[in-house]
This record gives sequence, C-alpha cells and structure tokens, in this order.
Amino acid sequence: MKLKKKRTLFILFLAAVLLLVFSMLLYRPGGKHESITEVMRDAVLHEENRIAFLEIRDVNPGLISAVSVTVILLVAAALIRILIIPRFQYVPGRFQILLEQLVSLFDGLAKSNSPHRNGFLGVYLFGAGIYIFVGTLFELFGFQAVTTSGLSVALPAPLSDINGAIALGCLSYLVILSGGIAGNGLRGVGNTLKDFSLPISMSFRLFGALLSGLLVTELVYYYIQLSFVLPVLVGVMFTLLHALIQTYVLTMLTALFYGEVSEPHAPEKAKTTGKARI
Amino acid sequence: MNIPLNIDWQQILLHLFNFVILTAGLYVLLYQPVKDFMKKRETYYQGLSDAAQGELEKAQQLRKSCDEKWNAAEEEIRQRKAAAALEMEQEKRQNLEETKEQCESLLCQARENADMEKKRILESAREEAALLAVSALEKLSTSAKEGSLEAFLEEAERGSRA
Repeated sequence: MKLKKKRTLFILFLAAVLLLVFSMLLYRPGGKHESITEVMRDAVLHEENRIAFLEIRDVNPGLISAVSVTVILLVAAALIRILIIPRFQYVPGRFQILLEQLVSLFDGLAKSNSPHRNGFLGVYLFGAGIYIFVGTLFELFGFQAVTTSGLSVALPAPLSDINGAIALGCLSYLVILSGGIAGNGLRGVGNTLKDFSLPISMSFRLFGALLSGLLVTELVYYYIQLSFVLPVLVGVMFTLLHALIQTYVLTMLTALFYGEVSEPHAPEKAKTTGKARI
Repeated sequence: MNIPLNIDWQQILLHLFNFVILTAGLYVLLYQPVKDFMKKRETYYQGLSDAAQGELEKAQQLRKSCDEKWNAAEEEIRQRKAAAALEMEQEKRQNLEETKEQCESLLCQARENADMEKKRILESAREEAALLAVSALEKLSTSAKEGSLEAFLEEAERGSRA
C-alpha cells in the first residue's frame, strides 16, 4: 500500500517537473511594453507608473498600497473588536493568545527599552510594527491597479515607496524627539538633535530593505522562465523574512533611542562632586 | 522644487496622515481593548492570589495561635501536675503525721487504759484479797468457832490462785 502511494506521488512529481520544463521552453512572451531597465528605474523612482488617487492627483502606487493596507487593517481590527474581543476568556484560545502576544510583544519592547516613559511608545511601536509587517506582506498578494497610462501594475509594499519610508522614518524621529522633550525638556531635545542623521538612516534603511525585495521580485517576475518554482523562495520566503526583520529593526531602534533620550539624568551637583573627588 | 529620487512632500504628508489614522485606529480598536482585558485578567488573578495569600496568612496566624494555646495548655497542665503533686505530697505528709499522732494518742490511750485496767485489777484483786481475807477471817472466826485450821489454809490458798 505504501509502495503504491509512493509510486503515485513520484509519477505526479515527475509529470509536474516535465510540464514546467516544457512550458519554460515553449513559452513565447506576447506584448512586453517595458524593458527591464525601465521596470527597475520605475520601481525605484515611480516616474512613469502613477495612479490617480481619488481622482484628485496622481500618486505613486506605494501610497495606494499604504491606504489599502490601512483600510484592510482597520476593517480587520474593527471586526476583531466587535466579534472577538467581547468573547475573550480568562483562559485564552489560540487567536486570543495571538492577539495578546502581539500586544505584549510591542508593549514589552517599549517597557524594556524605555522603563521611565513608555505608554505612548508602546502604541506607536504597535502601529508601526503592524504596518511594516502587513505592508511588506501586502506585495505578496499582487493586487493589481491601473496606472494613468492604462498599464496594470501589481501594488508594491507601501514602504518600498521612498515617500512612505521617509514619512515613517521622520515620524519615528519625531516620536523620539517627543520622548526627549517629555523626559528631559530642553536637554532631551539636545540629546535627540545630536542624532540628526537618524531620520535619514531610518528612512533609507527601510526604503533600501524593502526596495531590494521589490527589485528582486520584479526581476524574477520579468522573465517568465524564472517565474516557475523560484518565486516560492524569492517571493514568499524573502518577503516573510524581511517583513519580520524590518519590523524588528525599526521598532527596536525607535524604542532604544526613545528610551535613551527620555531617561531622566542625574542632577548636575552629583556630577560636579564626582569630578571634584576624582 | 525638483527633489531627487522623486521625493514628493505632499505624498510624504499623505503617508504620514495615513499612518497616523492607522495607528489611532489600531490603538482604539485593538491595542487598548486587548490591554484592558489583560489588565482585567491580571487584576482578577491578582485578587485571587491576594485572597489566597490572605487565607494563608490567616491560617498561619490561626496555627500560630493554636500552637500558643497548645503550649499554654501544656504549660498549665505541667503547672497543675506539679501543684497537684505538691499538694498530694503535703497531704500525704499531713496524713502521715495525723496518723502518727493518732497512733501515738491511741497508744497513750491504750497505755493509760492498760494502766487503769491494771490498777483496777490490782485494786479489785486487793479488794478481793481483802474480801477474801475478811471472809477468811470470818470463816476463820467461824471455824474457830466451829472448826479447823486446815480448812482456813485451803481457803486462803484458793483465794491467792484466783
């Protein structure tokens, strides 16, 4: 019985491989409108493929992705709030554990890195973490949108748009600055402004990481011969990995810097006496 | 202004606005309710834990007071035993002395009685001897009148034996 099953599986596998090889060899692409250089350039700069946003102005596809992610997340959150949270039990089920772990993860990150002042930080990290993670996975679904020139493009990750990355990087910096002001007043502002390169590094780190994923995916999908089997690794696993990594990196960095600048400093007197003793 | 890399301030602001709405929505719909529930559960279990701790402390206090009472009772028992033993010893000694005194008084009484009995017997013997002597004298006088000396002697000898 086992032998028969194994044989059937092997025959199926062989048939699938042969089908793939034949389709790769026999396929002749039809209409290709853009060269690879144009695709790559447009993935970075979004000069060509723009989408009309609510018929008001033309925007990068990344902004449409960002709004879509926000809508999806808010609808999901509203459904969870209405249908699941009221049924929470003291002994939790699997989904409740998942939600609690999610909240505890970012809350714990805020508390461990900024023990003095972490209420707002926890909320910000939760929002940013969920946004980066879901936004990065969003590109996996390949939702289509029509550009102003009539082309169909797959919506990318929101943060692969440099404007989205700059927005999140600068907002993280502002959050850190607010922590500095709340914790130490003017001294906190000074501590935060010392790291003036932070918003640029945060923005471009996010942008670079997500853009590299996008470029590799674009490259793979551009050639039909590479579109078999390989996207499972490149598209899914890489996307999952860098979704996790970028979520962790940005939230961890924000929490670390926030904790550093909001930490109350010892009064000057103690320092001067210390120096005098030395 | 032509900014490189197709950076657009309006789109940055739109991204910011979008993210702020998302964060606010997630806070209201997900973060805060889940945190509230977790806090409520923590409070509930903390209450249970506190109650259990209180019961434990109460039980420990009860045990401590029971131990104290037990020790006090044992001490009291020990003291009472000691007092009872002392009292018994005293009573025993007293009884012994009383008995000794009683014995001595009984002995004295018996001696007195014996002395008195002895005196009385001696007295009665004396009286009897006197009576015998008187009767003998009377008999003697009678035998002198009517009879013999031998009868008098026999009579005297019988009287001394009695």
